[in-house]
Amino acid sequence: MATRRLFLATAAAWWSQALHAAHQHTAPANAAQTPYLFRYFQPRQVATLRSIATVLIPADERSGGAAAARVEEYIDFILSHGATSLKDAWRKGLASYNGKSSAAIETMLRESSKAEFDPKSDSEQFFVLVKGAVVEAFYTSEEGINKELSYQGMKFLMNFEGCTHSSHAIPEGYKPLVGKESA
Amino acid sequence: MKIYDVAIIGSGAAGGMTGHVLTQHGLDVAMLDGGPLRKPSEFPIHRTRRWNLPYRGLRGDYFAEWLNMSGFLADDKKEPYAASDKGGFEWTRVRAIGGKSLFWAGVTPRFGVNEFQPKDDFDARWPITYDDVAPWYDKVEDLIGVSSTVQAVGGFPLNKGLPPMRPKCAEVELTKACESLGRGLKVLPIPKAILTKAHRGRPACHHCGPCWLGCDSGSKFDSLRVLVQTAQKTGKLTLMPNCRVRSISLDKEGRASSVHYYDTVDKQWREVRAKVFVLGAGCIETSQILLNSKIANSSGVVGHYLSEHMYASLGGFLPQMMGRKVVNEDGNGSHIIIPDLTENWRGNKFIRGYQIFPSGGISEFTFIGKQLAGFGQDWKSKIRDYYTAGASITFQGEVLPYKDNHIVVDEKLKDDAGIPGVRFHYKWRDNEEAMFQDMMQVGEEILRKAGAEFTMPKNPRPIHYGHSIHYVGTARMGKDPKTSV
Repeated sequence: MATRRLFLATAAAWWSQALHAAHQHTAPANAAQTPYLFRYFQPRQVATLRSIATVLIPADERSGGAAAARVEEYIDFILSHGATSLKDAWRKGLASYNGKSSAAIETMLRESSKAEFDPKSDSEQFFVLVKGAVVEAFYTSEEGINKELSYQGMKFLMNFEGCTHSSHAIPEGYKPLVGKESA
Repeated sequence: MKIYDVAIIGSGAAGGMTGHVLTQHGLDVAMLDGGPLRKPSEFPIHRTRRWNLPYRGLRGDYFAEWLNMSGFLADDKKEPYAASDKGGFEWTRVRAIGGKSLFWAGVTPRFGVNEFQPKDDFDARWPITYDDVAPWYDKVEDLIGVSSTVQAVGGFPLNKGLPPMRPKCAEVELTKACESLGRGLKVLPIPKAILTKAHRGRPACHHCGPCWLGCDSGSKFDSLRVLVQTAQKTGKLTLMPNCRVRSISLDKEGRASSVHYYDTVDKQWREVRAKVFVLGAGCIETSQILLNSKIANSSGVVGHYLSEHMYASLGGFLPQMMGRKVVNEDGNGSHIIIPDLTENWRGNKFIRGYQIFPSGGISEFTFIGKQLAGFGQDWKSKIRDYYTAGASITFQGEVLPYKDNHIVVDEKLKDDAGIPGVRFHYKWRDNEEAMFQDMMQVGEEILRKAGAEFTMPKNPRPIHYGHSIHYVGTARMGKDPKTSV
C-alpha cells in the first residue's frame, strides 16, 4: 500500500513538473530535446537563411558556427512577433538569395556589405538586417558563448583575485575599428 | 479573534527588518505578503542559461525574462497598472517572501551628508541628518554584511565594512582615467551587501555571476535569509504568504484595527487584527494600500513626490584590454563606484547629483560584431579581440521630488480580487535633462581619457521610467503634518 501511495505521489509530482515546464517554456527557441517548429519561415527560406548565416559565421576549430547554433530558429521566433514591414523586408531579402550557391551568396554578401554603415539599396539594407540578427542569435547561443567566445564565467570561484597586473599593454599592430566606418 | 502586537505588511527589506527587530524584542508579530514562500533553490540562478530562454533574456529589462519564467514577478494581467504620461512607467513587483531584496544587485552606499541636507533650497528639509542615522547604518551593515569603501570622501562617509571588493583589470584602467580627468572624481571599492568573507553564519560570495537572479548561498543579503528566517526562529513570527492586502480599517476611536486581505490560494477575503500596523509593502504598494484605505492622508500628500534613479550609460572598448586570454571575470558585477559627492565640478546647470559605475571586462556575450565591418573568419577573430575589452560608464542620477510625479488608485484598474490598481503620473523635467546631458559629457570624457574606442549614440536618452526599481517618495516624512505623511 505504501509503495502504491509513493508511486502515485511521484507520478503527481512528474505531472506537476511537466505542466510547470510547459508553462515556462511555451516557446523554446533552441531546445535541443525537441525539434523547433517554424512559425514564420517556409522551409525554402530556412534553407536560404542557413546558407547565408553559414557564410557570415562559418564553422572553424573553435565552434560549429551559425549552423551549429541553429540561428534560424531564434530569428524565426523573434520575427514571428515582428511587424508586417519587417517580415516583408525579410521575405524579399531572402528571396534574392534563394537557390544560390554558397560562393554566389558570399559574393552577394561582400557586395552588399560595402555600405554596411550607410546602407541605401534594398540589398545593402537587408545585409545589415540579416547580419544583425545572426550576430544576436549566434552570440547568445551555447555555441557562441561557450565555444566561440569560450566564456569562463557563471562558475563557482571561491577567490576572486581582481587585477594582479602591473600594467596593461596595447597589443602590437593595434588599429581602432569601431566607429571608423560610420564616422 | 487573535490580536497581534504588530501586523507588518510586506516581507522585503523594510518589512523584514521591522519583523526581525520586533520579534527579537519578544513582540507577537504577523507578517503578510502578497507572494508565496519560495525556496532559494527555486531562484533562476544556476537553473538555466540564456540560450534556453525564448528571447535570450533580451526582451524587456535584463532580469525580466528569467524572473517571469520562474514566476517571481506579479502578473500584470491579473494585477494591472497603467501610466498616464507619455513615457509610461515600467513597474517591477516581486511576488515572494523577501520581495525585491531577493533580486537586487546589492549596492549599498550610505547616503552622504549633503544628501540628507542638500545645499540647495529646492524642497523642504528632511527632519533627520546623517549624524542621526549613522549609528543605525553601523548596526545594519554589521547585521547584513557590507564590503568596505575603505575611506570617506567629502560628504560621502566611510561604512562599517568587511574586506573591500578587488577591482578587475578594466576597472583599474578606468580608475586611472577617472582620477586623472581633473574633475575631482574619486573611485572607491564598491560597498555591496555581498559577503567578501564568511559573516554571521553566511558563507562568502562564490562569484557565480548574476546576483540579480537571486543568491542561492545567501552570501548576498536578502530579507528572506537574513531577516525573515531569523524572526521565524524566535517563535514570535506568524508568516502569512499569499495574502494580498487591500486596506486597513479603523475602529471607533479612529485607530487602525484590522488589515483586510485576499488569500490568493483559496480566494477568500480575511482580516488580521493587531494593535499596531507597519506598512512595508514597497514604496508604491504601501501608498496604494494607504489610498485604498483612505487613511493617513489629511495632508493629501500620499502618493505624491514619486522619484527614482535616472539611469544612463555609455559603452566602449579599451585597446589595452584587447585580445587577452579569456578568464572568469564575473566577480559580482561592478567592483568600483564613484560616489555622488563632487559638487565642485557640476557647475550650476542642475542641482543634486549622480553616482557613477565605471565597469568593464569579459562578460557573458558581446554584440560588437554589429559594429565591426564585414563577416567571416577574420571578422570573428576581431570580435574575440574586442570581447575582452568591453567598458561601460553607468550613471544613477537623482530625479528631484516633484509633487506632480505621483500615483493614484484607479477603480478602472481592478486586479483579479477587485482591488483598485495604480496609475502613474511621472516625468523628468529640465533638471533631469540637464543632469543627463552632463552625464553624457562626463562619460565621453572618461572613455576618451581611457583611450577607449566608442561611438556616441546619435540621440542618447536615459533608460526608461521605472528601470531603476529604486522607487522612493509617495509617503514622505517631514516636520509639518500639512505637507508630509
